[in-house]
Amino acid sequence: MDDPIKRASGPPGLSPWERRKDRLARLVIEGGALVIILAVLLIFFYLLKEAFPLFREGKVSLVAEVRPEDANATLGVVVMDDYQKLALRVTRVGLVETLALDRNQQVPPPFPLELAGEVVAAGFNPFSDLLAAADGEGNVALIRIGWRSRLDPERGRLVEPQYERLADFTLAVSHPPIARLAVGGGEEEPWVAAVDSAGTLYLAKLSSGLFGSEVVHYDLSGEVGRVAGPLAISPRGDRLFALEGSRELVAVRLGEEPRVESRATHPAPVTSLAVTVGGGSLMVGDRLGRLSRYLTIRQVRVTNGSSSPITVHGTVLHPGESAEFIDQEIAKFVKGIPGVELSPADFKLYRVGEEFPHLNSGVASIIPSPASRLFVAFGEGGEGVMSHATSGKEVARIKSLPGPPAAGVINGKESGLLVMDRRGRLILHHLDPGHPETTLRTLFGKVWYEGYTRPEWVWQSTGGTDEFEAKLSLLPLIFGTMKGALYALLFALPVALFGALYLSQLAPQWLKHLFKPLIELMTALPTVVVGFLAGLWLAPLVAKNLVGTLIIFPLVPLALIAFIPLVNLIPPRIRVRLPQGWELLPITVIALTAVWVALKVGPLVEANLFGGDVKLWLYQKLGMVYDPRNALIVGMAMGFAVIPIIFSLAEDALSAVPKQLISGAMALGATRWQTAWRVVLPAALPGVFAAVMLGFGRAVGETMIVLMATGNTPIIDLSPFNGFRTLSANIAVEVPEAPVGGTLYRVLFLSGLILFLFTFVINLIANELASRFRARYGRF
Amino acid sequence: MVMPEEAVPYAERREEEELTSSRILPPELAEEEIVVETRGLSFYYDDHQVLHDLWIKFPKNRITAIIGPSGCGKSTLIRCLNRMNDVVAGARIEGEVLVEGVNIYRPEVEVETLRRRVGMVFQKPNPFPMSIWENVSFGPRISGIRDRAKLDEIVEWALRQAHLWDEVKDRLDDNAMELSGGQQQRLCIARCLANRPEIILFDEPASALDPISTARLEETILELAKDYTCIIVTHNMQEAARISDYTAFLYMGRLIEFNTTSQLFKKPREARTEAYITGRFG
Ligand SMILES: Nc1ncnc2c1ncn2[C@@H]1O[C@H](COP(=O)(O)OP(=O)(O)O)[C@@H](O)[C@H]1O
Ligand SMILES: [Mg+2]
Repeated sequence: MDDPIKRASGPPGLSPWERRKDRLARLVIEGGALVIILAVLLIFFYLLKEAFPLFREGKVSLVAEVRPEDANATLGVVVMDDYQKLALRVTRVGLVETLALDRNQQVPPPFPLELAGEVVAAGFNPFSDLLAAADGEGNVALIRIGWRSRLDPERGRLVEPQYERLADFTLAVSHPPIARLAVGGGEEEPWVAAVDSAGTLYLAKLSSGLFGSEVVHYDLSGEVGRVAGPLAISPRGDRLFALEGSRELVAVRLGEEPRVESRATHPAPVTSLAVTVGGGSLMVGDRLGRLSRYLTIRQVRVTNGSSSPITVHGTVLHPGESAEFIDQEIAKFVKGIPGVELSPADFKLYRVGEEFPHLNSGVASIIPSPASRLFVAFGEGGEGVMSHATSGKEVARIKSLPGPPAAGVINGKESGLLVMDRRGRLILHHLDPGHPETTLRTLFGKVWYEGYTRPEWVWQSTGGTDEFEAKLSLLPLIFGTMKGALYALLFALPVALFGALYLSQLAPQWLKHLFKPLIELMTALPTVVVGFLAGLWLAPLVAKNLVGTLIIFPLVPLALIAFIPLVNLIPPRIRVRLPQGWELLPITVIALTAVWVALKVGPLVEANLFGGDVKLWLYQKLGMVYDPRNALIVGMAMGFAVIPIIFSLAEDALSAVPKQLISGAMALGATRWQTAWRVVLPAALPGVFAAVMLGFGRAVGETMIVLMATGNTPIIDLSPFNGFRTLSANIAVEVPEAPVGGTLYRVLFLSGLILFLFTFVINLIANELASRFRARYGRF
Repeated sequence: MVMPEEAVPYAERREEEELTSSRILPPELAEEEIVVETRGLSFYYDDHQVLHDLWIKFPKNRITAIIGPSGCGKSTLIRCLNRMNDVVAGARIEGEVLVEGVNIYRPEVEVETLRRRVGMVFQKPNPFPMSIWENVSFGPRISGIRDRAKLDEIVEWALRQAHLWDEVKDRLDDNAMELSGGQQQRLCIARCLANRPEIILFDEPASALDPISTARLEETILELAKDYTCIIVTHNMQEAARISDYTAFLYMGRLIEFNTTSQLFKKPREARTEAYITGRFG
């Protein structure tokens, strides 16, 4: 205990117990700080780790190669099951043969197509699993392929193909044989399109009625010229895309009366076509090795019925003229002009300017995934690239083929790519696409989604159908976050800053001692309570007297400003007798009176100026929709939550301004308000700014209030009467819906990371400002 | 002089007190024009009396030094002259302070106007964290002058008066905190002069400065005394001797001796004064 050496090393006069306590305390404090830093770093790296795979490249690796004996007898069709166990090919002798891609599989006998002659053309649609094959005379067999799979205790998963013969019919081709065959359409009415050796297009539809099915033939020879290139039918069977000549793309609307809907001229000779899931995008490959995306977009027809010319998007429309535009936003633009009419017009095939990876040679084939907008394109030289129709991301390069494939297919799980080369060899690749739909551009830039008439920032994570494409742009959320925080500051700043200025500079001590803890206590109120009060009580209340509420904001400050000169009217004899900080009483009375007056006047103003219904007026005159849970409500509720932070820190900063400065200003004849406003506030500005930043940071991260007080609609609109969705609320809303490891899941982690960085940077700035302030005055 | 203040009104007491004070005050004052005068000034912080019944007269365009040991109430005294004690919680004052014959503690006196007339320079230089120009023009600006040319003129004049113009004329927009201590103090003087005061109170203005800056500052104050009434608190006897015309010696809140500086330092009347100026205590 009385170790002389130890005693000598420690500070004199401290007992060993005291020293031990001292050391322990230091250990605990330093250890605690370290643990906190570590925890924050850990969170950061965890978020990073979960978000990072979004930007990783995909992988394609060679798995197996199958070389059938009579490889030359294969037609350009290949089919594969979801588990990559079996492949199907169509032989010239009219059989659908099964080939095992996995040694354990049983190979069933071939399925006879039962066509009269040698098979000359075949087509397979991976979206509806329809197979069509034709012989030289124009006889067509239409088959639906299904798969049955079971788990065998010894051999693992066993897969077996199922065939359903849908129809046999004959296309009366004038120049046999059939050169190309395409099939498509859903469960109800499959379509078959064929092109004969002279390039004439034939269409047939299988109609299933009560009394069996019937095949209906259509003649489009009058409308469509010589079809030379590839054909593609949309998965839903509503459109056929064909190539007329070498560059003219034709969209044929399929239905009761098929007709040419629109045409587009591609800038280079087209060599390959493919439709993606849902049929929204048409991928076009050309001889230059370039890939393009076409969308079918509904146009709007603008007819100028007025007596003067109008200009729409740079096009001059003289009276009586009309033109079609793809941009639906035009509606907003020309709505108010009398005489101008808008009517829906046809769909237009429109090339959207997306950048896709290039191939070194002409595009030989585009293989779409049946599950998403992922596709693989191969060039004449055999080089391939995996990409995504919406994002244009270069997911992976494929270098395993010596020459161009004759056919290929991606399985429904997007885990395998089976390619058949021109010699009938089957090459199986393992696919790991990662997150092909996500790039920095899709997250932060505008994207032209299918069904949209312009590139937009959209957050829409889930939809009704399997074909739905998740639209995960973070911009509406970042915007919402900023909007929420700004509206909150709009409310919180004046109250918090004036409160802090008053309490620190003008109020008597007892008032300060009463109010400061009281305001700081406001933080103790759970934000859920604030949020749900705002959503359930405040929102309907404000909606009921919107005009009154809006009048409050200018009226209160105006009333207070008007009050200032009145102070000078009070005779000095009386003024000196007033207790310090007396201003609070009249200010409170005036503010409350102004609020009361505004609320009383509101309905009168609404009745007289806005025709009795301000929401209707807003919609009709300004095109603004009033959402009862809007930015105004969040601003008030979140402002309420932010006030204590800003107030408390700003008050500290203001109180820390050295007394000598205040004396200096007073000695120059400044009043207390002048001193507070012109000397104390500017001197404390870094500290006050730090307080504001921290309040901002708090508003950025706030979740519950936004979640409960807005409709959480992820729109980009500054209007105070609209809701918004913040990054934080979005995470709360979406996390239950996000499958672990999926794109949405990772994007949520990314948005968490962004939120983290936001608040981190804001706090860093606040800290920096505060420390500068401290450096200037030595205390804070 | 122990007498309950409330019991005897000033009017009745005055004659007697005048006698007392004229006994203490030097005869030379009779020749001077008096601008500031305290009459029976007592000051309390709550129950603690800091100033005891002071009767002092400050002559116009002279430098009057107030000396005394630390804590004797020098700062409190001059802070009573421009009512800077008003804001101190628990402060209480008795007696009168006349500035040009008017009791500044009368309710109708506007304290802001008074402080413009009676300027003050503090112990520690306290420039505002703003530009030099903004510092000097602060007083005129808060009193409502907006005209930039006029303000420029005032700033230049005040800085010249404070002997700072040549040093800062090229960097009026620089932050005042970047100036040296001596420059900062002269800036504070300029800031005070910009208000065109009649009286300037200095509370140990040189205590935070090095000898060279102090010398420059003293020079400036001497120069100012031609046009202004200067009252300077100092704990530095040499300084008082160097620059002041009159000196008051305060001890424990009481006026011990008030005389022309030369008299007080050469031939102090009171033993306590002599003890203090010869450095035997304080
Ligand atoms: N704000 C205050 N509250 C209470 N007592 C004070 C205050 N300021 C000064 N005093 C006291 O008044 C006395 C005189 O102080 P001061 O006038 O500053 O002396 P000096 O300037 O001569 O050193 C001291 O005893 C001091 O403790
Ligand atoms: Mg002092």
